[in-house]
Amino acid sequence: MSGAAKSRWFAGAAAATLALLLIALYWALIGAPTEATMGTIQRIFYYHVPAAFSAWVAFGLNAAASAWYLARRSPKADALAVAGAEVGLAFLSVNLISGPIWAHPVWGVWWVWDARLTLTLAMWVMYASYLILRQLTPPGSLQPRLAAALSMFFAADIPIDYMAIRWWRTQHPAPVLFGGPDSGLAPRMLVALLWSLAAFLALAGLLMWMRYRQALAQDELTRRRQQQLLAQEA
Amino acid sequence: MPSWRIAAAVAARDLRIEARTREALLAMGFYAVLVMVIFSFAFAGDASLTGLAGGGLLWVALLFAALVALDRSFSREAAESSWTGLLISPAPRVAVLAGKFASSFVLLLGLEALLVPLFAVLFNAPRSANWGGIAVTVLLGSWALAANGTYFAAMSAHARQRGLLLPLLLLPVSIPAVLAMVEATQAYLAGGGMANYWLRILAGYNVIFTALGAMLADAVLEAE
Amino acid sequence: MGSVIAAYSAAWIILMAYLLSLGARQRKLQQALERLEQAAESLRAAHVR
Repeated sequence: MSGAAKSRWFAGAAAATLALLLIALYWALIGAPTEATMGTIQRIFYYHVPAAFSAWVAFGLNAAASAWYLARRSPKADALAVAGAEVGLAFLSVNLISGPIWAHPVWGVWWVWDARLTLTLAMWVMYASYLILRQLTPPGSLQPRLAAALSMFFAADIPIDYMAIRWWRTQHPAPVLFGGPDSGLAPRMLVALLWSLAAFLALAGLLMWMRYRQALAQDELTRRRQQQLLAQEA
Repeated sequence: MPSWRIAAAVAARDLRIEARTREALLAMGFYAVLVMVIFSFAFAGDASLTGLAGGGLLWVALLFAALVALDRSFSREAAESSWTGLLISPAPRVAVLAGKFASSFVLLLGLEALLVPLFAVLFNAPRSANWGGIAVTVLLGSWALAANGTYFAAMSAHARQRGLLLPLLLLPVSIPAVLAMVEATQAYLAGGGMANYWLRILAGYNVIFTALGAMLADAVLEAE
Repeated sequence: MGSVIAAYSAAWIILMAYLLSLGARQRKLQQALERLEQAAESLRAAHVR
């Protein structure tokens, strides 16, 4: 695809994403009916859940890309890995902030150490440490490898976390939770959720694409800098 | 040279250095005791502390001490030409890492030999506590901390702010292990029944992450 | 409704902040690339001489 065609494609994708976001916003605020028990505040759910889902998709891509990098040392793999981690962390942050905003009026507390919240917080810290590792290690051939290895540790750790924390929470008196917001959705609510999901996934995809291209451009810059340094010495 | 020989040599060298300059051992031990004392104030000196938060307190102290031990394990190497020589040699990375792990593991066990009895005294651990079970928990828990800790210490050795990065990398990944250690210790102290389940999680964790660290050893040990 | 607005705003702020940070990084990259091009140009000019 030529450069001009690529930018047209990108502009189109960006426009489509914006459209999806606006449609989703309409459905979340107006299109979806007000929930019977919780009231208006239940609408936070239309951002809270798709954000988590998008984060998981992004992290999944990070894991896959990291494994691919360790196998093939492909710079494209590394670019995808960092894109997945950053975008995933952004969406997980949305999830972690919308949660307490919803929880405070509904549960009376900002936070509980139940299985799902603890796991989500643990994941946030993990991928934040991944980005910090990348920030603190010198760019070169080592940084992508270290980051990819760390990502593999997360991939092994998260399922175990899920099991262990789940068990931990069933052993101790769990805080009283209302039935999860995904228990029994009215059809128009489901529509709103799906629009939001589509919008968030589109945005995640767009942001990852941008970050991915940027990472490759950064690699290119580093390479040409090195070339120039050698040329200057000659 | 067979891998296990390399590992043993690396471990022996590390332990010899630690034994010679005993200051580090004493400092770590004192540090861990201090952590236990300070944290005990957080629980208002309640006599029933052992049953409620005791297990957690012991492992927090051990975690802090472990971070110090692990950081030392690699910070020394940067200056040593023998280390670089080892990395340039065809010695398999796993062997070098295994040696590092072994020395850290032994160090931690030594520390625990001091801390666990002290803990039992300071926090009035019940005589009915299952000390055999606690010993196994300490063994498995130290293995988990030493294994992942060695790997992430090697990883953060390449970075700026090494001392900051190590806990940042180690602690999130160790969450299920720490959970299991604390819960098992609690159960053994209180005489509850869940301990076996937690020990199995801990053992499984050790198998998975030791294998993972061994498989990915080449990623973290590179001469620059 | 206030909480909903707060949550949605927080979401948009976070995502837009990330988008803007990407934009800022892109600009810096462009500048660095341009500087590199200029340096390459002057190098070529020097060689020709």
